[in-house]
Amino acid sequence: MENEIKTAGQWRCNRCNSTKGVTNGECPKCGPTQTTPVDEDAKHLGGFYEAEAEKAKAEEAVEENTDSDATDPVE
Amino acid sequence: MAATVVVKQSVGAGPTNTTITNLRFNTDDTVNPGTTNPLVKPAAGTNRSFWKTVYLNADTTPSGTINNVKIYCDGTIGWTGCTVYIGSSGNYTQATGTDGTSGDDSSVATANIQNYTSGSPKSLTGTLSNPSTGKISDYVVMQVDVSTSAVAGTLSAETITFQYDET
Repeated sequence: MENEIKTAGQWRCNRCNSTKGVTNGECPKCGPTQTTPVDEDAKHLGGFYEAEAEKAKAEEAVEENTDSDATDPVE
Repeated sequence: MAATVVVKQSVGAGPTNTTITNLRFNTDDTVNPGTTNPLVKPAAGTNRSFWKTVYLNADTTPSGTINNVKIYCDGTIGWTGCTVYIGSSGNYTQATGTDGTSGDDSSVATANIQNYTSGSPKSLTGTLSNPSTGKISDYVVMQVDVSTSAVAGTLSAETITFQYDET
């Protein structure tokens, strides 16, 4: 006998707003659909943290550029 | 980090959705059929593949947004006597026909795919933004019409390309 425990995560269907039986990208009621991660496991599986870190990095870079331009003396 | 974007094929009534890297046209409603139920050259008239339904899917979320989805081929499908038709729809309809003989004529896949090239691709409806994952594009439906001038045998693979913008 085998037993496999998977970390499935909790997802919410963007169309019907249900979480019942919803997995990454699929809802039992709506079929293939867009989903939003609800719990920490789903956020990890959906790459949420990686995307957020990337976004923060990009925003930081923009801020640096903005600061640099703002302090440049105008002659 | 860029989103993990894949192509999924939908089959069955559900539908059941499977990530694919290759699609084979045949005469049943399955994913990766191998050599089961190949296309049948007609003695007269036209036989068809079952229509095949795919869509673009994000397994992981993008940092910003994925949009501007397009699809195209190189402008030449080198399958003698065969014409590949394409169309798109927001709704899924399971492929129908007679297994091992011919698919029913799709009312969605009606444009010759050779008309869509990198310079003139087919635009697909669909966008997906952080933190969502899942289905990005409309369903893309494709079907092969087989004429009496088709050449029997395994034909060389053709490439179809999805293109999209991501922020």
